[in-house]
Amino acid sequence: MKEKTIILLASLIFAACAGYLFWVSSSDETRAWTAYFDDPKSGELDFIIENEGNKELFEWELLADDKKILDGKVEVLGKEKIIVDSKNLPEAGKITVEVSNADSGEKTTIYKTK
Amino acid sequence: MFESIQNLVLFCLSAFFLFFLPGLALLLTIPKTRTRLSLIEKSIISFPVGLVAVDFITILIAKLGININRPNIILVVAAFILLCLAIYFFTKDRTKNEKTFELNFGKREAGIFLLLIFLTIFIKTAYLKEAVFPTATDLGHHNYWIKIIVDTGKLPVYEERDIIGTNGDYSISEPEPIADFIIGEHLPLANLQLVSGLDFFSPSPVIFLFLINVLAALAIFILSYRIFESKNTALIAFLLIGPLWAISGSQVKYASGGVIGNTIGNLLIPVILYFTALAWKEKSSVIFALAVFCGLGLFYTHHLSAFIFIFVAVFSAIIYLIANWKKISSLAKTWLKILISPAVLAVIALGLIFVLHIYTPSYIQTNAVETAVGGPSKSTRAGLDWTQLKSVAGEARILFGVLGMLLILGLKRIKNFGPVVMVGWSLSILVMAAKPQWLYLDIPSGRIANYIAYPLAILAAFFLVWLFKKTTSAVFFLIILFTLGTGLYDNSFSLKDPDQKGKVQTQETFSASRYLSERAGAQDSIVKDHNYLMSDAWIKLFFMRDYNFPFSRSNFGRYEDPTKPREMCTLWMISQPETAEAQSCFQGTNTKFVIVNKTIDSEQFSKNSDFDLVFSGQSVNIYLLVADER
Repeated sequence: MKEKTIILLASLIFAACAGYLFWVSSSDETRAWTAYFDDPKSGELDFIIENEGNKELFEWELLADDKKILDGKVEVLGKEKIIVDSKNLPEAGKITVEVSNADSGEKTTIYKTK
Repeated sequence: MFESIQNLVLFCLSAFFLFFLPGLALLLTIPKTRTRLSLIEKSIISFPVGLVAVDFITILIAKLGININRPNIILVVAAFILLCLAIYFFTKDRTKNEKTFELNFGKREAGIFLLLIFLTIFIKTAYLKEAVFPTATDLGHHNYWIKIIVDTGKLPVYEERDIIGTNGDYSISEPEPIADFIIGEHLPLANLQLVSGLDFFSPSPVIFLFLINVLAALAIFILSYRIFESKNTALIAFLLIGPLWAISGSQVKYASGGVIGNTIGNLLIPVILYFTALAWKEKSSVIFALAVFCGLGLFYTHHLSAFIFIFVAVFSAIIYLIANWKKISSLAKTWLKILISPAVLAVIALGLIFVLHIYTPSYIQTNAVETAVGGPSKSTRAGLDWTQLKSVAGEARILFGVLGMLLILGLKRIKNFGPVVMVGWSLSILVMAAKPQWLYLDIPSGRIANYIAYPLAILAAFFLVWLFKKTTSAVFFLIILFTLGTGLYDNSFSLKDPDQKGKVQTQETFSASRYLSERAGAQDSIVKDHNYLMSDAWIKLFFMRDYNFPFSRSNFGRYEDPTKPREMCTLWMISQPETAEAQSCFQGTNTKFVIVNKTIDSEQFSKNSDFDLVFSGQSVNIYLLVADER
């Protein structure tokens, strides 16, 4: 067999496997969701739910010192910002936001102390 | 699917243009390599030669004040290729009557060769399928420097800030030089990224290292062929380094782990020996100059590989002198003619000019060599026993490799240069790995032992080919079965299970990094954990403030290592944030944010009213120290 043929076939084998690895990486469907305060340093309580997966329903509750003040539901694909009006909230104390994914049941919590 | 094909095309075209073409063009300028190398040899050797050439070209243009960016790199590499091709066209008449050497394969040999290539690539791909995601610590660290080159267009200055101070008075130091990185580890990937445009988080760095790992195995094939002039020996050597033990040790695991310098070093060492063996066979000083050229490239790429190569050269030289002491004067005359020649002296002179006046590798500037000598300082550097060596090298490979060494001695082939180098190569690494105290070495023995696979593959192949002629088919068949069994078992043992949880954690780490990169102030420090946070070494890529930013709580054992005392702030700030020491650290370093694994490290923060929890996923939490904020 000619050397050129061997080189060509070996190159094609490598290219095919490399292409497969590129495909594996790009077709990975792992998605995570997170919750965070838009401005972590200030007293502002606006928070964002970020969901990189399919559009899913999220439920949230805002608690002041463990007492529920506000709640809501929102469908998220990408980022959804929930604006919190601090007018009706206590001046001081711990504000907790509990977010749960209604589909998977996963929960997470963020909090600030005013 | 379209995106994958596009990425593949960009990767292949870029790698071909940046490495294969320059290497091939350079080989074509030299009449001896034009005709004395077969097409297969040229195609394997072109890549490492081109890689070294483009590294030096990039360093040169950067030192001339030219930006390292896509148009300049493409222009300069194209100019180099055209210059080489011009030299080739003007000199090709010199060799027009010479027949180019051909590596003729019969149908069966070609079939076996292609099958081995297929198995090598397929088995390594099977492993990489679960290891191609951006998680590896080493690759995260290296990518920082690669990104520095890409973003700034300049060569990086290898330095970092650290936390300093004692007794409650802590601060962040000015940048201090670090010896852990060498420019040759970063230039090839920086150039590849610039030309291809592929993302740092794409699989392209891992696939690049995968290609180098496969080429290293093919380099063993052509080296074996040139040493023993036997295609059977070459094919068996390729079997023992390609598809068998394809994953563990310094094989494709290093590629997925981003161990860039060692992976390139594993390619350059056999290439240097290949050129040296060929130079001796052809009595060609120009071919030896290529060996010196690649040797310079090795010194600019990986200090450990370069250090080991020095021992390989010394051991080989001593064994050669002892084996040929009766005709030492005639051999010396021939060697001197090769060594003291215009081509070799020119390469050495250019190398010295480069080191002394253009760019000195960082490990020379920081005297890193001193840390590698002086005798073993801890148990992991005190040498491996036979069981450990067998585990690293592969049972069949080390057994037949040692027998191959003894066979060379017994058959008196030790007088021949090629076999001497194989014995010197194996023996030097075995001594360095098993008895480092004999050589006053202070290097992790396991790291050294990983280099043994390559020479043992060649020696074992030599032994097996000899055995085939001396024994019955049944016995030989059993031996081959044993070899295949141990090599394939090691592969199956090393394959990775899918880690869906790990991928989710990686995404969260990157999400957290993006969050802080957009919201942390320029003066805010951040500390993160290395022990339980997935892909934490990649966090620095989102900030690009300093190699050591964010600060990291290291492996716990490091804080207790008496041979290397280190700052304790990173441990205290995460493990015991409520303590007075930790508070001093937070204050002195202005650390505001802490990134941790939520399931492991949230309790100490949730109990502490000084911290808000401002970001949370399923595995990652970010805490903000609020004492001074509101």
